[in-house]
Amino acid sequence: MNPDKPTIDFLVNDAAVVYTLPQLYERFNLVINHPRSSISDITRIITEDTGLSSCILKLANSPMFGYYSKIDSISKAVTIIGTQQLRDMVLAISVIRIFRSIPEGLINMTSFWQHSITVGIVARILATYRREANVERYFVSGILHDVGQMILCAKVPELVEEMITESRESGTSHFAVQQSLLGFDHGDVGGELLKRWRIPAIIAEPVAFHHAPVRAELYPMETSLIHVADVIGHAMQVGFSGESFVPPLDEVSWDRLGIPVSMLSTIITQADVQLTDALAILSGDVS
Amino acid sequence: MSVEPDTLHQELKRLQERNLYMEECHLRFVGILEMLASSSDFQAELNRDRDNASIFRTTLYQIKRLFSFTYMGFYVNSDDNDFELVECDPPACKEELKREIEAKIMDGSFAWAVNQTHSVLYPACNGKQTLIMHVLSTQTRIRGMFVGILPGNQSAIDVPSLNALSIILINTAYALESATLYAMLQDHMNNLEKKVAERTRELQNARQQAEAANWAKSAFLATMSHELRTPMNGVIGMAQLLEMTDLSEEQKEYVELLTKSGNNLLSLINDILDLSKIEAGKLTIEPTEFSLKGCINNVVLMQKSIISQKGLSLKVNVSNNVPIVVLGDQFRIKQILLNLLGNAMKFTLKGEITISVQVLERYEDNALIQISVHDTGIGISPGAIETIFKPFSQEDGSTTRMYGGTGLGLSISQSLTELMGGSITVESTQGVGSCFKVTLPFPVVSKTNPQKDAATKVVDLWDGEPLRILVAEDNPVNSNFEMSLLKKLGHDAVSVENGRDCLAALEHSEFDLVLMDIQMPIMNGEEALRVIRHKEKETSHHQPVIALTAYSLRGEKERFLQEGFDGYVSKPMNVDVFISEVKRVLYS
Repeated sequence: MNPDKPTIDFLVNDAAVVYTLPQLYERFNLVINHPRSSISDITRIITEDTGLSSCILKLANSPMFGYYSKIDSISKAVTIIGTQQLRDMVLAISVIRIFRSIPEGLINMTSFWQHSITVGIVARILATYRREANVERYFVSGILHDVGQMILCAKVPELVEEMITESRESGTSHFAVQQSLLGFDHGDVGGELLKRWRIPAIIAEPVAFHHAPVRAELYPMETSLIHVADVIGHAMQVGFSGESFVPPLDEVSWDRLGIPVSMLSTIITQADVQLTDALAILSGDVS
Repeated sequence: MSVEPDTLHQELKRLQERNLYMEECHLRFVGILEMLASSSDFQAELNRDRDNASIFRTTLYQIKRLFSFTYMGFYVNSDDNDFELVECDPPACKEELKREIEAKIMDGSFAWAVNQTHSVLYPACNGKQTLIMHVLSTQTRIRGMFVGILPGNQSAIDVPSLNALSIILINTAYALESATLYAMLQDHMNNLEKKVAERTRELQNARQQAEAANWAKSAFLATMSHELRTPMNGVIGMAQLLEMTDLSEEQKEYVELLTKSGNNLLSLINDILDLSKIEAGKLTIEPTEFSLKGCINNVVLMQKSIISQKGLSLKVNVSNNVPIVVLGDQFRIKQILLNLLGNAMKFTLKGEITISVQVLERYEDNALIQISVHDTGIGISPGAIETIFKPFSQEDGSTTRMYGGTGLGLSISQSLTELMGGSITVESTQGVGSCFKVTLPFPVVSKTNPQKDAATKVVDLWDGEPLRILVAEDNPVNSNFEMSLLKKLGHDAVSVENGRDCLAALEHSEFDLVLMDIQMPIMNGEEALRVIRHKEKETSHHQPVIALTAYSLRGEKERFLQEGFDGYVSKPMNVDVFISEVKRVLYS
């Protein structure tokens, strides 16, 4: 294997082994999809993991949800937030915890998760405006969108550093440098990892094509939304994931969302409000 | 290798359990499938229901298959953003359900549920039951809320059923939306139909009014010509009788003035009535056989005394080759001549007036004759020449005061000339004099005087191949004239009377050229040309078409060319102009 020009398989083969989704998520998924499971079954599984439970309760009581009173138990969270929604939150939190073990390198982990969480929150707000059935699904897609970058950093740190430098010197987007140098970008890598983890395509495809929404075949709407959320996230300049420039906005994606331009400032203000607590809860759990 | 019986037993037990579990799963899946299958009926029912109440009843019936709610019902979101309980099951539970929901509205859980897209579960007020709330919303609007109370604790509620509930309620929300939109559409359509009916009525009324007004105008014209002229004739006749009685010099002078004013008024009335008739299209030309020379002499005779009174001299030159008897409307020709002569007399203070008659062209039994009236009067300024043929215009206000008249004469003369297929032109130099030329085609009645030399001259004019020409012209005099000219030139000509017949002729055979009159009944020339040009779009063939128009339309030559005519010739057709235009159109 030539480390100068790695393939997606080379990058993901190891990662899928090293970074495995916790058993908990798999069991949780099984229970939710099981035709017989009840609310108490779901509650029981989450409460087994005290760290996860407390993280969920903190998030449920944060401005992200804006619930009018206190949600003090997981069973209450399940009935109020919804089961599918909770499943996706569990996935988001689990992934952040998995990559906790990656050594600090050229990209600061706190800074990395700041960008990812920002995109997750913006995606969730965009989905709320579209009255999507499950906004947490967009939250988790947003949080996971740059997971491939994490793998690149862990597997080929020198190459990533080279590409960041080249991007800065030539004034080209980092993802564009990846595309021209590797033939793929970090989205493809992340998408492949999620596929191996058997995460549904409705989450994996937006991650894979967030820099090339036109390639989305199954979920163009969801992919467009994550693409737009990523552009907004970069424009908000919270955190750093290797990209020094705001990526160009794909107009077709923007039009597909059907959100008026006048809403943008409201969306960003809302994201700002929710961001502080969410960062403290989620990346606090990381560090 | 042997297996311990204990282990085997345990394995068997595990597999049995597993089997039971799988069977249960299987049954559950079959149940869900059945529910989904029956939900297609539910969908169809929702689509049929056009009012909210039946949509709610259909939904409640479907939900019953899923959960055994103690009470359930629907709240709808009214225009002022108030939620109102509109449907519940069983019907008697209304108050109970309301009390339960009031409490949730007060503590904010209702508002929370409104903004979620999934089921939200709360313990009911009594603590022993579970309240499920699920919003009824589409991507554009919140339409209401489903509420239901289940016996027992929330922890036993199964998740797939909650998902199924979501599916049902989303369908319900869209059914409500389409019912609303359908009602709006229906409303719009009713409005539209009403509006169309109203407009149609208005238009019918307007048309009836216009028709009535038009009829009234015609009736008015007919009566007026009689009613006005009769008393005027009475006045003039009485004045003439009075003149014959024994009168003092002073009285005689008054009676003469009375007669003169009466005659002036009568001619003014005649002018106005003529103009109205022309404008209304009511004036018709009535041709009879008459002597052109006699007609001119008649007019001259009527005016001779006045001319000599004014100290002017009058000459009449009639060429020898002018036919003796022609077919035409003698009365209208006299009217034109009288008008031109009257003008010449009016605007000439000294010198002479010359009337000349000559044959411009002659082909067999058709002659193109020009009558000109030449004077040595004040002349017309170049700027005014364009407007003198318009009604009520004299050169300027001052001439009206100085020379009198209504300014209708030339306008009437022009209209009459064109009605007879001719044209009227004027040449004038200010201070030197004016010359009005009336050119008219006449069928010649007497054949005693054939003009062979003229015919020979014409034939020589066309040096090309004989052409096949279609003439579309409604005026029989013009048509006759044009046909004889073309035949004399050696062409093969066919004539039709209107645009429709012209199109039919073109369908059946080919023509090198079409001469198209503009104003024709049934289908006019411009319409016929549009059809010809439209049909040509499919073929590469181009049919040359030359417009034949009234002389007064010559200013619109450009418009005709733009409309797709290849050339333009004004009526009556001058042979030189015609030949050069044909050559230009066909060969240049």
